[in-house]
Amino acid sequence: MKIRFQSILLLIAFIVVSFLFYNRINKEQDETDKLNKGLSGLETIIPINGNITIKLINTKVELWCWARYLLGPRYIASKTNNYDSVLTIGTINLKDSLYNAYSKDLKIIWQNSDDQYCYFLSCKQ
Amino acid sequence: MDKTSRLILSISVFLGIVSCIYFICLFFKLPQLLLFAFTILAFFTTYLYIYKENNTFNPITQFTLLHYFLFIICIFILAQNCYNLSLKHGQWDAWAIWNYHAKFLQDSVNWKKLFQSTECDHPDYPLFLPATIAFFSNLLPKNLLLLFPFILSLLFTFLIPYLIYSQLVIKNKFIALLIFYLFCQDVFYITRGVSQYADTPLAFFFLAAFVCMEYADKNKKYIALAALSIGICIWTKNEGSILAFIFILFYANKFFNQRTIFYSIGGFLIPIIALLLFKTACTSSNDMIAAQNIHSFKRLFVKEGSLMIYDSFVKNMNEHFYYLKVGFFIYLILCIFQKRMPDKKIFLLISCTLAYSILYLFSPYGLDWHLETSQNRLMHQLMPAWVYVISLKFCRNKDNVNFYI
Repeated sequence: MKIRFQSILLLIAFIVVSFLFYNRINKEQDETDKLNKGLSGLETIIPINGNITIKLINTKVELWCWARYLLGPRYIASKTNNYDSVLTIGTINLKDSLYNAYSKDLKIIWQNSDDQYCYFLSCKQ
Repeated sequence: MDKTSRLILSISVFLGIVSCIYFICLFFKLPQLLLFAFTILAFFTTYLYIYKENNTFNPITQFTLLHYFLFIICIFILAQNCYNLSLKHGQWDAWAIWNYHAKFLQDSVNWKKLFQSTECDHPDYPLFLPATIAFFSNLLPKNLLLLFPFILSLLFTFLIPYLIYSQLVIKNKFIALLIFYLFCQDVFYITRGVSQYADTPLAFFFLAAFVCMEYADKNKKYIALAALSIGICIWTKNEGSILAFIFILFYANKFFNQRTIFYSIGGFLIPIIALLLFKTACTSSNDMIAAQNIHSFKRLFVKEGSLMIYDSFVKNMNEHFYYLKVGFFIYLILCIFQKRMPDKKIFLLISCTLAYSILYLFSPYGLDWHLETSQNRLMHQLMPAWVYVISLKFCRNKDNVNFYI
């Protein structure tokens, strides 16, 4: 038996692992996917060259990195004064207070919530 | 070089060239048609120049059923580990840096926005991985977008042990199989491999340069191929430039003599063009370099820092690279018994390991944190080349040490 057979075996293993991984990721839901669901619809509102900043209220810091990755190639900064809209993510128990606070001074363009977080995209009125 | 190794090299080098071409086309805003024309040209060039060889060396290697059976078990272990240790979005740097950068590069209009970002984005990181992902993601349907970065990382995780195996199996089947098994069962190697980071591709191209240099005296095209591999190392990660510098220094007589200089330039050309465009016109400076000043050199003489690096190195070695440590000591003992100096390649690798260690002394971050988060990855980049060079020593005397597996 020659090395060619070993290459074919390796290729089969490669295809099988890729296929199993593909099946798994279609079923698996992790925290990033949950956030992705929460932010769904936002990519049609935020222009690719928009200047967006993010505010996290009582949430994990990682959420900024995840949101940035999910909304890429839109650039979302956390520390900037040069922005035209603000994406706010807060824990769900703050939903009403955040809405009241933001709707006074800012225009809420888009909002969403799930069982863990509420999401607002706002801009200056 | 045998056919299997040439196939492995042509696949990987093709990916490297495609990423360079993709970036150059983005940079000069060249039309898609030209990009595809260049890609097809790259495909045929790698196929005809690297894979096809007229005066080919085809060792007739027959394997026993036991060898075949053990090889299948190794593959099974490798496949199972790869599947179990993979994550949907990859590990932290995968989605925070590499796949995130790829999303920018997919957009031929707004890709330069990547370089505006300054917050934990590392826009100065070279683009082999993001550009390759971006190129193929543009061709794939949306439901396969998460799959491709995984496939790419899986490919390099498979190719590293298989390239070493295909190189060793013609010399000593037992050693080849043993080394292949060590990779397949190595949870640390596979975790890093399928993490979707750029460390494993860098490790592969560095290893590929060593493999090519083994054949440089027989065929000058391997000089070009080694140069190309080293060029892609620089195009993969910033650390790649340190490895490339040391590698070129050690092999300067082979790269830059009258007979080979055009081959070397030919090999370096495409990745260096891409890198120069990237470094001069796009990116901000590297955080490590930007943090240096006139007093930085004083850190070289701070004993605590050096001790901390050494302790961390030993800890990582014992935890993740134990078989490399054992192999290295056996190598040294063999050298003593044979009354021979260690190979030049060993000194090259020691220099790379030392250079990586010294780098930490210039870290602008907390040394503890920096060592904890990255030293094992740097060691992972060098590990395949170390394993290859050490195992070559054990394979030299084919007839003496063949266990007929």
